[in-house]
Amino acid sequence: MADDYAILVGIGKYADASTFPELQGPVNDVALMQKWLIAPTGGNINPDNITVILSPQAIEPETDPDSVPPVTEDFKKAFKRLVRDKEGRFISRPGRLYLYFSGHGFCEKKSLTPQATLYAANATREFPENIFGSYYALLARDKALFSEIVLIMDCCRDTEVNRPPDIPAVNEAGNSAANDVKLFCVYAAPKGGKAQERQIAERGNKVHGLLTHAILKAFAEAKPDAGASITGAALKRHLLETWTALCGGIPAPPPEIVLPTGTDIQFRSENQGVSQGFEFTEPPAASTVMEVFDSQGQLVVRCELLPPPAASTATWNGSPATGLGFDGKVFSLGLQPSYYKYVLSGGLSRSNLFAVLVGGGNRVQL
Amino acid sequence: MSNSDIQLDVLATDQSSEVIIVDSSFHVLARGIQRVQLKVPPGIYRAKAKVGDQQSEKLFSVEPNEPNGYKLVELDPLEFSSPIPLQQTSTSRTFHQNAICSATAADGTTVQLGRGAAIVILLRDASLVYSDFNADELAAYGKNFQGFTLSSLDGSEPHSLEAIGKLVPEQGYLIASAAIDPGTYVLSHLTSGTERQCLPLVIPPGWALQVFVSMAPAGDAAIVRQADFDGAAMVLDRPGAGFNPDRPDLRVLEVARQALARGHNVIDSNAMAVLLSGKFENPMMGIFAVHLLLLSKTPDLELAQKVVTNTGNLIGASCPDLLILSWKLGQLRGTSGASDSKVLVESVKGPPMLQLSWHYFMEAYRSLADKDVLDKGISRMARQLVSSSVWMSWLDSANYHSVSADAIGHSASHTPQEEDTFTSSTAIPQVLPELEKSMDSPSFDVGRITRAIHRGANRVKGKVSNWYKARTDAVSLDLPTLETFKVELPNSDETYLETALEKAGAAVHLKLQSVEADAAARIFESLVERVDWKSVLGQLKSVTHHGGEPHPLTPLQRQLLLSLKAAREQFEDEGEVLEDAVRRRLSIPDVPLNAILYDLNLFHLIAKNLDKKHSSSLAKAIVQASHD
Repeated sequence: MADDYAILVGIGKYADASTFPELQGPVNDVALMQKWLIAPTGGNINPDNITVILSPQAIEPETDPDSVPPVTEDFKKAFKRLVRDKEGRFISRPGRLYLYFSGHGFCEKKSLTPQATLYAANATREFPENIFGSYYALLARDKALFSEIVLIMDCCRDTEVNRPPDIPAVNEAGNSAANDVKLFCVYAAPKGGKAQERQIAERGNKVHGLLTHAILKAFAEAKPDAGASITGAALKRHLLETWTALCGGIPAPPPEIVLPTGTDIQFRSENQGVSQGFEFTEPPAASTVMEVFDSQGQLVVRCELLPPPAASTATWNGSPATGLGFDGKVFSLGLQPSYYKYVLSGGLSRSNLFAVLVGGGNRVQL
Repeated sequence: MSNSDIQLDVLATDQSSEVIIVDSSFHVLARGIQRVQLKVPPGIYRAKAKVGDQQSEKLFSVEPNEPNGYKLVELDPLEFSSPIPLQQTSTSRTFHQNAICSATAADGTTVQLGRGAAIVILLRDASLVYSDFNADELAAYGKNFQGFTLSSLDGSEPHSLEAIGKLVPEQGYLIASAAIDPGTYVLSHLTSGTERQCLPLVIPPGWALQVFVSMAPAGDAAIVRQADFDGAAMVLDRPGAGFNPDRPDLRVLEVARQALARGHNVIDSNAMAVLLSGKFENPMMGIFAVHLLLLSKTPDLELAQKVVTNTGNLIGASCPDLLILSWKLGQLRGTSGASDSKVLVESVKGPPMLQLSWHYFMEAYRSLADKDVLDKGISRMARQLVSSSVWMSWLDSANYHSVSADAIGHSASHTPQEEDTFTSSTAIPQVLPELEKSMDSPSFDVGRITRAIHRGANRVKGKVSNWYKARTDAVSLDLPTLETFKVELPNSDETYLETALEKAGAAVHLKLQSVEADAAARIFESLVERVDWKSVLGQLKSVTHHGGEPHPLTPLQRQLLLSLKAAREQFEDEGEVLEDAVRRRLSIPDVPLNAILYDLNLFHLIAKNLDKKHSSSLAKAIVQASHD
């Protein structure tokens, strides 16, 4: 959208590497987020409206530790450029503001409202310089600088008592239009929780923050509410219910998602569904039929599984049968995320429940 | 709901489990503790049980023809991690259980440090990394358990845990058990050369405090471990009662502690009431329970008060955490007033155990007109608090106290001593004598008396002003106008003078309250304008970055330096220091204002004594002081 803007911050390298170990994910995450924001099926933002603030590829050995970029001022300046006119007054824009942060982070122990802060690259154990992402999102809302604000903070939320978030000096007068501003926030972990980054096979084995990977996957796979859009509430449900499956064998605390207080926010849904894998523990010797029923007991798909080289087929809800790739042991079906029941008959006879949650997740064992 | 709906009953094995039911559209249908019952239409559902950091799930179907229209779903037990070697936890170790069982048994090995109470401290590493170590590696690994000290609150009578306890590196633990006098103690360990992290331990008469500390991996070397004080668990039990790793209330205690760490109450009032109905004598659970209730959106204040009372009956109502909780509940219920806040602050002479208790304590302190009643030891702790999620904790170092004198060039006359900090409370006691001087001849002429009171008040104001000017150099303070206050004069002959003086003194006192905040703001602004704090911080960071020792600054000093730097950046960018922003930066909820004033004063004195053209010399002075 022409009126949408974004500031993306990815900090992977810190001056104090013993306190803030290097992260591989943030720079990759920003690239991924930027790609989604520009995509017509994603954020559909004008690329010129995106400001990217990133760690350099390497920190020069003699760099003053207090100047290792990005520092808090880098973000402040980008934010100020976006929200003020030439005379220095706040301007209200009709579109959406995306604020995205990836790196090491924390939150205030005493805060009763969800919040998180990203450590700046020049942060040290003793002087934890930071960018208070949540504050800037709230500032943009309270001053009605945009009609919608999406805050994504892919960082840890260690609870801290005496590591204060850096609150910028701003004229605090609010704007009555703030009540109509929609603020949608996603934090990578609950208060006190650790965010994780991992090597993600389906993203070319690159390291990404788990939250960033999950959100972009949800935009692709989650069931839309209506048409091609998904509400913040539906996105929240999808992220929370698929989180454990997405994490695989290594658990991670779930994200915290805060919805707008009034009308919900809408995102584009690619509605790709999930390519769910199925695997026979013992390959069927003879023709086997597998029927998949949804939670209400309605038949979704009927598969005729034949030992290769015979062609297997899938028949979807009254449509003509189509070919199904089956190597005698493994096959996949495109299904909406939900809970189902399969019933096998013919060569094998059994049934069980299964959940379709995320693409690339565990295969259903038949 | 329709007639075909089925009664669903989902039950978790663990009574502390949170249970959640989700439908096939991923809507959460219901949630509760240990058990959830609801009517649902036939379909496929998912049940989840959560305990601590663990979660289990079960997919199940509800058929239209369930027998008797009822479906029971049972969820498997979960194993979470805990510093207590509980059964059915992922960190349960039999040899650690045996060690704590022996130490807590009636005939257990105990050092006599006093009598009337007991303490058992178990430092343990559940990783099993030590099982493969050779003798040299074990010797190196054992050093992880060195440097732990149990001492009195003032640091006297320190006892090394190695000396009073038993170190078993081949099983990854150190255990110390002692009979001890009831009171408040400090468990500390060295975190760097001279800096110690301190954890307060409150041991009530007739009770044994069991302290469990995990030795967590630190750094890349497999051999290095560091005590996780923030993740410690504490249990109060009767001396000689032994240790039962199957106690279900200890599981609940751990779930409650982890909930406190996250700042969320996951234990509902009904479950809490059952747990606290006298089934278990677990006073620590009582303290946790009240804190958790207070984290609820609509806390059950009656239940919380009952728990405070019952817990007080067990361990004595003078326990700092209970005193503070009692005050907080009184505030919320509207049954206590300003005088109760003063009584609380005056009566708490030692730190509470929980960070949240400290938070409420500071709430009481901030509401006081007379800030001079805070215990000096507690005031010092406030400047040295470290981040924690459950337990109160602070850093201590002899270097903290050497910085001030060294960094300002031994200008002892300007060193902010404890008894001479920037607080109006120092000047307030002068109010009454000044008023007395002004009222040289008691008379019933109301106008004359009022004029005399105003004259006295202005003398006080002059003294306060001079007191600050002598110490803040160019910093000017906007002292409040005292002429506008009104004193209602009584008409009783006998009480006339005394009452008039009291009322006038109180009014002046109230007026001068804002002086402290004003002084802090003025000093802060002056510091921002005079010193390039970006350069100072850059220099301080550079020292550590290039392998130097960490700076001997308290956590509060570090926080103030960051605020000064941020304000300086804004000053350079905008050309002014916004007063609102200054006051916001100085509004640090868990630190008393006089502690902030103390440190600002220190920075101010250091800056004043250095060459203003080379503000980075301030950093050099601090670093130099740290190496002296």
